[in-house]
Amino acid sequence: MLITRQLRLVPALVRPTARATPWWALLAGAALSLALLRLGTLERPVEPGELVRVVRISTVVFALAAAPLLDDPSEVLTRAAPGSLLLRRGLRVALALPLGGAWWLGTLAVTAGAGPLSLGQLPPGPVRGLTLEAAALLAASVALAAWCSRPAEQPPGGAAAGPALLALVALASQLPAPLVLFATPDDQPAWQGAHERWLALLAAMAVAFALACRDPGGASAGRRWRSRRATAR
Amino acid sequence: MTDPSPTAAPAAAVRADGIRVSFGRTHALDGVSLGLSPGVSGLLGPNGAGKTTLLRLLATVASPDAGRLEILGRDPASAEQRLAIRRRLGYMPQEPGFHRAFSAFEFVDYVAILKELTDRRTRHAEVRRVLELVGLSDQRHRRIRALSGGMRRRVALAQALLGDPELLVLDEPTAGLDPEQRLRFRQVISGLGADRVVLLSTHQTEDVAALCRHVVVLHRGRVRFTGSPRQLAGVAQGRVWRTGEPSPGARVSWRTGDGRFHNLGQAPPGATPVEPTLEDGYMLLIGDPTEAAA
Amino acid sequence: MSTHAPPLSVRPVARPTGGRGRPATLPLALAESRRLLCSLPVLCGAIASAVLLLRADGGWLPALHLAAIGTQRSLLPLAAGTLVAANLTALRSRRARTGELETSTCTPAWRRTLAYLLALAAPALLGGVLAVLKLLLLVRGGRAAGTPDAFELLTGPAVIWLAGTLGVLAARWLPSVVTAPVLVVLAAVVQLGLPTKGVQSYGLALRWLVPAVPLEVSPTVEPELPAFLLGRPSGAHLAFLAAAALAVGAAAVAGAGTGARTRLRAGLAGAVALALVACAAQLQPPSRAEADRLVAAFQHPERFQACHRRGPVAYCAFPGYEPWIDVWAATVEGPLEHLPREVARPRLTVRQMFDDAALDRRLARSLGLPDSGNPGPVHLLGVVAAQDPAPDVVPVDMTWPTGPAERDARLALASRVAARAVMRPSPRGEEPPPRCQAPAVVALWLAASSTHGGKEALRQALVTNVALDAGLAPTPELLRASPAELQRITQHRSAISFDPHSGYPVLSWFDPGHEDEGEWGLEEANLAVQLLERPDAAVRAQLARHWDELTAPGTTRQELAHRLGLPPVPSLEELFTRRGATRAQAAAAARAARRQGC
Repeated sequence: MLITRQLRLVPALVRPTARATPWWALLAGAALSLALLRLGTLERPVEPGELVRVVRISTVVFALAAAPLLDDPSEVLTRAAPGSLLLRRGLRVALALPLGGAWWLGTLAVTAGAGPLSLGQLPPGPVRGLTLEAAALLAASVALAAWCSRPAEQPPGGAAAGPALLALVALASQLPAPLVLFATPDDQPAWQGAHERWLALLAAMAVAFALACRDPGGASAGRRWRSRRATAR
Repeated sequence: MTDPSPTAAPAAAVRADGIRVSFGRTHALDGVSLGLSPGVSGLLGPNGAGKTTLLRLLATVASPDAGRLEILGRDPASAEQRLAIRRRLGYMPQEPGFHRAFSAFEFVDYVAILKELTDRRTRHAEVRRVLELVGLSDQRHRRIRALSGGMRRRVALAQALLGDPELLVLDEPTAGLDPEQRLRFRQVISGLGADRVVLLSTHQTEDVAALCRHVVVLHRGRVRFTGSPRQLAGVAQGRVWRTGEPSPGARVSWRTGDGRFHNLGQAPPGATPVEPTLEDGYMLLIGDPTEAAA
Repeated sequence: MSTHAPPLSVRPVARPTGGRGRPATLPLALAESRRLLCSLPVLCGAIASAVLLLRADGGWLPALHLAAIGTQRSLLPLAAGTLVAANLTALRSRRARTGELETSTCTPAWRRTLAYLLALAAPALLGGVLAVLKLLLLVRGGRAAGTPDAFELLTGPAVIWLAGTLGVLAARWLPSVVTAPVLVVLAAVVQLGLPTKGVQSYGLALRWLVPAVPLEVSPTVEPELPAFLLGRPSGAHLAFLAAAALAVGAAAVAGAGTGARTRLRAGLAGAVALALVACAAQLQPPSRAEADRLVAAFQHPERFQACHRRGPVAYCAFPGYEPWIDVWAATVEGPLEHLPREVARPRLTVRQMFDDAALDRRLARSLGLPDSGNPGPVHLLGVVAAQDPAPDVVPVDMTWPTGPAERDARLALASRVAARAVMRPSPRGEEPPPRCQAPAVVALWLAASSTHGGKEALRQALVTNVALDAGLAPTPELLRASPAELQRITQHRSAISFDPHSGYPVLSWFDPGHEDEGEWGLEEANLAVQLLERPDAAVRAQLARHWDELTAPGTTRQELAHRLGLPPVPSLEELFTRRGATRAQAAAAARAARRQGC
């Protein structure tokens, strides 16, 4: 019932949410990301390993541009409104998805002519894998943005989410062999294992996003449990 | 209306002639001329009257589109003179922002550095002094994000008092303060002495009545009144009366706590006028477009 | 609060005097520097840099002039953290909406910006302290060679400062919270050469535009050279970074709006000019004299070395590497002291040499090489011929491993000494004949028995060879198997490595970098390991009794085995037949091997 009532607000919220979303950061990030990709694949043909690295770098740039997606200066006014935080933020993310999809298609298009080993011509495995990585990185960026924008006096929002994402990517690049995330497609077992972990990461980030969008006015699980125990006594 | 005081007015420390400020097609200030002498002056006016714009001009954080401004004998249009003005200026904006991770002491100390109080020991003593002035000595090491709204305004006031400025520009300084704090504020401002210019903008007419030697009323970007609080109250002389029922001839009428109605406007014959307050004069001034500016 | 509070003190303790007050730039910079050091990005960067510094150069004896260069890359995380923190500092008034308040003070925006730039001294200093601490840790071991170049050491802090100025510039010209992290990614791409094969693949100009230029000039070759031969333009590069930081800082101050436009424009122009001059200076090829010195040191290292005699051995090291003499001596003295008393100690010279060096394009130009346009390195060995050292010269390398690998290095050096003490000098070259027959067995035994850990090292080298030869992974269990068991398991199929002329099996990877002296025969190693199973004193006594016979060049390993009571050794024909050769092939291979003296 609660969900239905929330969903009824969606049609009316689409336009104002679209106007309030900071599109400029995403658009600038997409442009820069694709420009980097083009620059990195200027000398063709490109080796598969190099191509994968360039795509990952451009994905990180776009994911960083998504860090301020959930920044909302009016949040302090709207937090007491019936429209839930999850609804407002979920709507922003949903509205940004087409741009994300367009960016990924642009990535495939830019790399299409990168010689015999372009993304568009690689066997489906690497392309699927890189798509999953991109989705997981963007999910991580949005989840971090959600946590850093938790209703508070002056939440840091994108200012903290960006550097946090960068730190996580740097740490991930140093993971030892059994946990490696940034594998190369020529090492199939490692690639397979890495993308199982990416899938788990994507799911974890989605859950983290949902948790970060809980109603700030509700009692925490710990407090509810303590209250129930006190009542039981 | 000008001040008919028989004593010679002290020389104006702040003078504005024909100041105009526009935002697009909106005239925030439309030919404002005034002079402020040492002492406490109040700036009244409804929302959108141009009070904050005028205060920003006097605080040298904005410049007029037309007109002349002289502050403490200097022209803020010149960069060097503007700097000289700022060395003698304390400003409390209407919506002060804070670095919320700072403690109260750290934030005021930070502003003190910006005000060229470079010697650390002296500066810290000054910071402690102003925080004690506003009653925040005990809270000085708390993070600003942990302070209440009223306490934050006191932090904003404290930083304005740093360095004993000759010109204090305070925009809504008592908003959010409880009566006790407002009393302390009056003590602080009144204790500053008569040798500096204090201009405070407020909606609290009792603060103006209690503190100000001089009042300026702004309305729709123009000066509607400049004079003493008594003269402003005098605008409503004979035009305030009380009845048991709402009076039809009153422009403004409301029920008071004792059940009687307080009426402003053209008193009907037979009505017994009561002594007007500053608020009465202000309300009539703002509500009556025929009341001439000074 | 009581309304009967005592009178308030409204007079200030001190009042700024009229007229021009002292600018607040320095006190503000001090306050901001404290905040920078406590900020999360700087703290995280400092921790990451500290970890990298601790892990760097692990496993090798330290050479401080090379370690100083290594600190530059280790400090990059701190530089990244400083970029982000400086950006957030400069954006703080915008995000907290204190801009108007700060504008109303007498410290204009350009002075505040200048203060932010000066505050960067704190994280830069922190980086310097971390680098110095790293070097002190290396020195503490007492075996550090060389002295660090001050310019190289200062480059890391300069990179940190430059990164911070970029952060402040970004806040002034592109005030967004996204800019700093994106800048970090772009800087990382350029600095680490991420998409490509690394900075090593950059062209000459681009390589030296990178803030922290690594030592490696190719993915596999790091020029381990004495400090005076490195030829890096460290001073010019530091000047370039400093000028770049000045120019960026001036642009940041200009972006803050300033009254001192003329002076600022002049400063900016000056900084840019200085950066261009420094950049050009660092790209200048080294002088012909510098290049010739490198070639001379390669071909005639004795001209640049001071020798220290200890008994019959003279140790000659490049300047700065004298602390390593003790390390070499601890290994070299072993085989010489274990020679029978009656045998004269040979007079040897242990000389430090480098067998090759990768030159970057700058040095290649100085040597007059045409520029092929290929950004990769030029190898010195491909340009000038190496000079063969005299037979009594024992070469040692520019590196020495520590930890588990040191055992193998000790054995390799001891084997070179033992070969000169026991065996007749053999011709050196690209394909020298293998070291075989009885003298080789004696030399190997001497080396392994007189070196700490030598027995295990030789045994492991043998087992690894045989196991890999049989296609087995050298697991710990396999390494513990005795050679006899291993022989039984593998039945001596084919060796991993064999002499190209005769096919005689030899030990692989035994003494990397010194294959030109000749590889040790696998059968000889087998015999030496069998001897090592016996008590050293007994073997030494036996060898002493038959020294002349066993070290004579014509004595075969079969004769040695017979003399020392070891199991019979198969003949060459049998050896090759076991490896799958036909009788005719085995006979031909055996003839070839005998011609080599095996």
